[in-house]
Amino acid sequence: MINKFIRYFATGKNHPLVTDSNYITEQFNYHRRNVILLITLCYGLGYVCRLAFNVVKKPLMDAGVFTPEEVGIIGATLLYGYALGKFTNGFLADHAHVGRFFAAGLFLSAMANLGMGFSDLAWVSALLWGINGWFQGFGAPASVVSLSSWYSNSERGRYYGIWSTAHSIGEGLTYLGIAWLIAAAPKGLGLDWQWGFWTPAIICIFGAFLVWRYLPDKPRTLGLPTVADWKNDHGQVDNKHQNESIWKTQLRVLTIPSIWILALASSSMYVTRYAINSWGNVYLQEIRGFDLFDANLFIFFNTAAGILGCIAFGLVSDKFFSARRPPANLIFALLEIVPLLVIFYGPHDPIILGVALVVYGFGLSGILASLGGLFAIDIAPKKVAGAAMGFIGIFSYIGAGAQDYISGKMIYSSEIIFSFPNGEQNFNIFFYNYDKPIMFWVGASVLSIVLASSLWKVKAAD
Amino acid sequence: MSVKTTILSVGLCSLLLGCGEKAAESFCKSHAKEHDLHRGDITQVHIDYSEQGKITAQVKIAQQYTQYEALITMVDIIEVKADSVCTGDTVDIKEQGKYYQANYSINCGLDNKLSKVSVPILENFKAIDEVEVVINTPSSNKHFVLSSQCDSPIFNVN
Repeated sequence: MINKFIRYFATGKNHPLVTDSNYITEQFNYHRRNVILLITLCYGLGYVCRLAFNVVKKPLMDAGVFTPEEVGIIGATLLYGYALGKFTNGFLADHAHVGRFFAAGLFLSAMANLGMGFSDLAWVSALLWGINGWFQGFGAPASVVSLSSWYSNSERGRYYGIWSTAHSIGEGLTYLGIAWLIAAAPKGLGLDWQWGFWTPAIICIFGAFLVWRYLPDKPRTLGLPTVADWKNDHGQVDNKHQNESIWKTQLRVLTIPSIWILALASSSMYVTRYAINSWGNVYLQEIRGFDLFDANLFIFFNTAAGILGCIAFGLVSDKFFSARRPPANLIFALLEIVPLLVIFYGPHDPIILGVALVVYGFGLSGILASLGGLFAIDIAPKKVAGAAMGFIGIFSYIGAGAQDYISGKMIYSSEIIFSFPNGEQNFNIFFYNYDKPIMFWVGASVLSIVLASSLWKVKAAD
Repeated sequence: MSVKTTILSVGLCSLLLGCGEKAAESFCKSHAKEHDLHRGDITQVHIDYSEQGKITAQVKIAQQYTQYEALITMVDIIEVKADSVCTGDTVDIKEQGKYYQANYSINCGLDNKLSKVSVPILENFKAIDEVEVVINTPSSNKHFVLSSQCDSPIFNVN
């Protein structure tokens, strides 16, 4: 039974190669078109099941279902689950039929969301959301395995860029679409908070069906040649280090002080990133008085600007600083910190707020692309770049998860309830003070850039 | 069925379902827009909580709903729970045409964290069906309407 289950999810056996070149080209064209469409669309749809909780935080707190501290704990469990999922599922995805693997992740994530809509017990929700974090970690490795199986070295960057837009598709669907369902009329449909989980569940089930039905296994399992053979696009083989133990080199990464500093810098920046993503819309509703729809729209501006930030960071550091990341880190950090100060301490004007969020999103994404990716790859030996990124990734999500809990605790400690009893009816209006959490969020960014700047003279490894 | 056909079919079905019958707008959903039409007849509660820890509550209530004496006892209108005891309660009630304007003041002091402020006005004055409330605190302000007909406060009031 267990063997059958494992076999179902395992990648298929390599089939004898088809010799008809026309058929091979036809099959590659068909599957490649499907792969990029499916992984981009469905990874984006999957995002909705990850972010739904952020949209319904305020309605949950207003309805007295959860306190801010409980909301923080629940939010944190997803990030811890995701950190674990990113680490473990990366290994699993290499051995899996990616269509089935990805579909299982989406389907199980949908089930977790469905359950969240029925739960008003903090520990049940925390458990479900933590498991959801792990299921959410199925999508990225499955997509990356698909990309490397169906697109050759010289074209993978382009397709990786297309796939990266999935983040914005998902965030757009959540911060605009789900917010529209929950926001009060006339801006939204005014549905109960439960629909903020059930609708993403339906969306993810649809996504799961698509990848299960249409996302193909690797080309060799279909009797096709590898994409490198088909495109005649082979990478360089490093004969010198071919026999060296990767495990030893991976362990050596952990002895590089720069990697530890980078991990701490990335972790601190993730504190700010997830603070804005998960508490930003609550802050905008609580303190700045925006309604749920507008608050989520502002958060969407910041995430949409992030696409440009990622692209711009690579260009700026390559073109203007000869691929040195620290100067670009400093520029993008200032582009992140200055608008952050404007958002929290600047004039209460919606246009200034919108512009500040866009610039913040641009700067943040740029510096994150460096701290969690480019700079890490520069410093680490190239053949274990994955291990270095995994190490930094775990630190980052532990930081993000701890942030959610600490922010929730600080917000909850400032709670004042204005209660208007009326027989069995009891209207409770909650007030929170965000002064301390804001100092924590801004302080984390400052710490991050101080740490990153301490690596000013660090040079790229071979 | 191809990928494109499946996506298009589901998209079309969602649109058809989404454009279905519009639910009737209840009083609670539409009242935010219509409240302004009867604002003058509604009991008003305005609470200020200053950074120095002083709480003032101003209640404007039609004489048809209450007697003067019923407004004298502060706990019938506002009661504060804080880490330490709040002092200096004052009550001041004036008649203004067909209304009573009652002012309540309590000093909780600096660094005395409030946990709960009870305003049992709907409970103690059964004739009142709706209250408009403004609350200002050092961190944020809220403006909403409470109605016996609705389960939750009505925000974004015109």
